[in-house]
Amino acid sequence: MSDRNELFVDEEENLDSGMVSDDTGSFHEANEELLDDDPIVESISLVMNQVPHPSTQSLHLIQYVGKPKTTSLDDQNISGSIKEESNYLELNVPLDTSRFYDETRAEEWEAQVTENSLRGVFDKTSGGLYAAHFVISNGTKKMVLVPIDSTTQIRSSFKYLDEIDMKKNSSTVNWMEPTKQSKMHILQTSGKNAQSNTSDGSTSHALGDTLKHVKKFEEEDWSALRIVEPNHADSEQVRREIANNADDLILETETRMDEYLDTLINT
Amino acid sequence: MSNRLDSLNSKKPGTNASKPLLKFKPKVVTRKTQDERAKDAPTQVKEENVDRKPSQRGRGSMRGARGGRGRGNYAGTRLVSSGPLTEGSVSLGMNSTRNTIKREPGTSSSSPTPDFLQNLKVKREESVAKANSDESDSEDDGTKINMNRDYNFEEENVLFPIRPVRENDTSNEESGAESKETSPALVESRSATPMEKSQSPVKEEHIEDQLNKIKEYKAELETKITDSGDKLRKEESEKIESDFKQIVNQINNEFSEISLDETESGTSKDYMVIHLPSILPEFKRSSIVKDEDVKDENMKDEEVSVENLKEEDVKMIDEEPTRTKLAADIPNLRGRIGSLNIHKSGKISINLGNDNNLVVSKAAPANFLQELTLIDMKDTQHGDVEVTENDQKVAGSYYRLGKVNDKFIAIPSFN
Repeated sequence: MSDRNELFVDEEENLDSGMVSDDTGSFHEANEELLDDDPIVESISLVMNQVPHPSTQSLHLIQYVGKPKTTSLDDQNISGSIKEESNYLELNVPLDTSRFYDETRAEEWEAQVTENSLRGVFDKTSGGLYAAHFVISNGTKKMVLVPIDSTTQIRSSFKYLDEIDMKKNSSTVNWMEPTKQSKMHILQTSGKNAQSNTSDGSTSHALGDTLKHVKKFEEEDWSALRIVEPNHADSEQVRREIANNADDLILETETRMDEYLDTLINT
Repeated sequence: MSNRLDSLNSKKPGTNASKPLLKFKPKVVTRKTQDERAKDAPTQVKEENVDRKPSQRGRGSMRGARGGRGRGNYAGTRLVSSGPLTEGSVSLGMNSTRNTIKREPGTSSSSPTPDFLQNLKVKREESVAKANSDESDSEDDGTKINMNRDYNFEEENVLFPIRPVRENDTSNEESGAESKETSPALVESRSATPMEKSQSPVKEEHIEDQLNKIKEYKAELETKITDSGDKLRKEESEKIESDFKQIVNQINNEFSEISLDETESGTSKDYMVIHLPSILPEFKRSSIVKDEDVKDENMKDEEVSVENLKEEDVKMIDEEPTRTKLAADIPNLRGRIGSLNIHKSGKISINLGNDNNLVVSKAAPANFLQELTLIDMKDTQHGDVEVTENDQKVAGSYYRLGKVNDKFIAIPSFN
């Protein structure tokens, strides 16, 4: 028994002594690792900015859903128009008629389709979406964030088909006009009803709202937009203004992380 | 006339085919006289179970005992008990190996004789007389229960349910012993097939092998389960690492493509989209970096206003400017809010100050073309209105700023 006890005690003592002697250094290293668990190699300043003139300008992310990422529209002569009240955008991108273009069908339809009409609605964001722009200013790197007001998915509208139909049915337009007027009258009443419901505080009718928007869209005229290419000097100027307008201001927060998380969770 | 029977179809004159020829003739049963009944009674059968007590079972007996409709009809008649249902014992088992329920000895299934019925009648009258004289006696009788009265039964006095006496048949044990005795013979007869004998030890070994195999397979599966968890973790960590690497490469590429001017300044051509939480910490303007060499002339006007604001220590979101109809309702925040940090491990985080950290990860890539544009709607009330070739008035300018390559997401770090 005594031999066993001695053996047992010796082992423990050896282990303890080893642990203490070895861990004196590694303990501090571990603490250091905990403190500087993942040291920062590079730090880039994060600057928040706005569009130069918020009263007239707004930033939008245009998504060409039908066009692959590799497509370049830099050399294209794009024309555009907008319905500001209806938040509707139309871009006319020229078609390449030398490839995949059926001339005989164009002759048959008596319509020369040379532009691809892309249309979409400005879908406003609720904040949180930012355009990141990388800037080097006096040799220092910074990333400028500008809030995006809306994302807009634009798709082909095939309005030339409607135009062809309109041409074909031009003879019947005269006697169709009275019924059109009556339809407009119905839409008008629906819109009024929806408006009165919302003013009363009751739930608005979905169909009435839709018809109201359709009526508003049809009644609003298209307004042309002057398209400024990315390589144009004006575009360059806008880019510079966005990049360099706010780097002198330093913002600080007193909000702690737990408070910030609470606000995020509760909202 | 032929000897053949008349045809069924043959119609006799004066008879109607629809009416049948049969006539209902009721048979009047007349009561036999006593002598006639005595004559018809079987005299050769003698009553064997005379000393047996009458059974409580059977319709006839009950009817007779209660003095029903057939009271007195049995006078001068003799009942015969014969056939299989007259047996005294009721057997529920198929053979002697099962337990049997036996009736109490001394009971028989023979129908009550007129003498018995007469005795019963006398007894019943006596019991009625007793019941009239003393109710308590009839209640103590135990055979009748007054439902309108509460009985306080003793625990030992159990009235019902009455269980029949169950007897373990000794013949069962005997038959079991017999079966035990017979079983070796059966084994012998089975052992005549040599295959079973030869295979029995081999089978045992096979089961042990199979058990060992099952154990091994189980151990393999368990290791696989632990391995799969580790694999998933590995894959996840590898994916995150690769995402971080891609983000770092993307940022480095963007910076490397910037063409610097004389002041070593420049901007990237393309953009990225970064998704931050919709609510950011509350920021206050603290100071202004004094570096007038960098500032443009346009910035100087702003500097004055900023200095004024610094004195008042106003929140950044102070006066919301009037926004265009196309703009969203988002806070107007300008200034340096924090830093994008690239860690040694490759991790990328955003520090918004005061230990508000966000972790940056890569979003799902989009395969379609995306462009960042700035729309500047003119103030048409004061400016000149341009008109295009199609007689459309020009409402504003559409600045194509550049392509959007990637999208990142920054989420709060819960560590």
